Amino acid sequence: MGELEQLRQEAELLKKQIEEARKGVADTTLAELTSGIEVVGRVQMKTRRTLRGHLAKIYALHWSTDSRLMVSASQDGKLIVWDTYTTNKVNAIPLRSSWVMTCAYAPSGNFVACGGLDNMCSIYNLKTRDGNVKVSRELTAHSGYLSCCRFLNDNEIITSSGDTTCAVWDIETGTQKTVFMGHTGDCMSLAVSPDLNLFISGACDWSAKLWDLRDGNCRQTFIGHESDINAICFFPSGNAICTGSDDATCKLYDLRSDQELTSYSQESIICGITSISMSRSGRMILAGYDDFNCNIWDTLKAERIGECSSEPGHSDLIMEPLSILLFQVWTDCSLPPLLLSGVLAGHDNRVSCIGVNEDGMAAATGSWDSFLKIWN
Amino acid sequence: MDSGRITQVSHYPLFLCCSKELPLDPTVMDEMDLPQMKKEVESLKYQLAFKREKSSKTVPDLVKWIEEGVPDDPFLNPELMKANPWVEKGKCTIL
Repeated sequence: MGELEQLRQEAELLKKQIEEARKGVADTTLAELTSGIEVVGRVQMKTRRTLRGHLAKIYALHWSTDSRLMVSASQDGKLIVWDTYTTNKVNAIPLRSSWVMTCAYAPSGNFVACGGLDNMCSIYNLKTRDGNVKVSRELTAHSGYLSCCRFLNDNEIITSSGDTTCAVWDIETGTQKTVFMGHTGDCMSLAVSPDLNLFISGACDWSAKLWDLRDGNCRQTFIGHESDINAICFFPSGNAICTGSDDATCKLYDLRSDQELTSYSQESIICGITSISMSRSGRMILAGYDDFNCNIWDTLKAERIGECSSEPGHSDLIMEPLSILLFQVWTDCSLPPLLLSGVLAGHDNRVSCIGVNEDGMAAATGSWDSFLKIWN
Repeated sequence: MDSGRITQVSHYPLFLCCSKELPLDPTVMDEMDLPQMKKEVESLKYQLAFKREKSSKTVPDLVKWIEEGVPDDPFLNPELMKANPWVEKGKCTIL
């Protein structure tokens, strides 16, 4: 038997042993423990702000740690930093590549980053002396698209890539400090643990991996999904993770017992999850789907309790200045109704990305129709 | 990267192709070369060694963490949402 074949058999055996070890500690289930808990009451989220300015589909958004500012990335080739309270654009940053897939806000508020099909992670300094936002670094080394990035601090950023690796970079030197290899499919998403010692990645090999930032090892691999994992987030305590997949389910995995606790799915939901976030206590999961709906789940009871969508018949746009102006113009002279109906009607929120801010006061969604919305 | 690795064209993002192709078969171990396979075995040994705790201990901790956090969760505690920065209090908006 060749060495390769021996190793393959060894790997199969080890995987079986890991499954046995998992079964060995599975002496209860989430369903059993929550049988006495009531489902959270139906959640009704209202749109508080609509952020207009992008000219194409929003691909990503990321809140600043101040829970007020937010950065968004769009296929129109721009990053926009928003003041979500006032809807003002703090910065509008033109990108060298319009094929952007991700963006991130540094915890300090000093930098934003983005990347995509250019295979690079570009770092932008928001706080330059002359007030102009500038590219401060272009991190190149990945041989595949940049699917996600997250700052650890002003000098370190983690990236995930279509080349199946993740990496931690020293931004100052522009080099990869650690490369995390092990996934056998494109890495689609990453999230950093609250204590900043670990991070998780979700990939097209249907698995999620927990990585140790200090020693570069993969500590745990979570399986169970039956298709690509597109979205991933940490449970706020850092002891569990939540994944969203093309198999139309979200899953909750417990880190300490190393297993899947529950799956969030419904027969009527058949499309993939593209983005995921949790409320401050972890009691709610907000997930964005391929059909552009955003469903809200009760984490403990695995039941759907709401969605982020404009209520039919209620046009919150009527209250906003632009639509008031257009409405007046329409009544004063004849404007093609088509022009007007595009603004007043059919503002279904078609979610392409979602994020809950740090203080838990709001959720932001990025839409296919180029708008972002703030909900609570 | 390694010349022997498969290029996963099927996973280009949605705006390039109409829909993702069929999911990648996870038994990609068949395509790994010797160094990759050695690393995979090392990683699996390391992952096996992880000290798993009983779920009868860890899951109640998780549930308790949530329940203790609900009063501080603005989506679940209407009292906290009274100080909603996106809703104007009174008739005037402070710019």
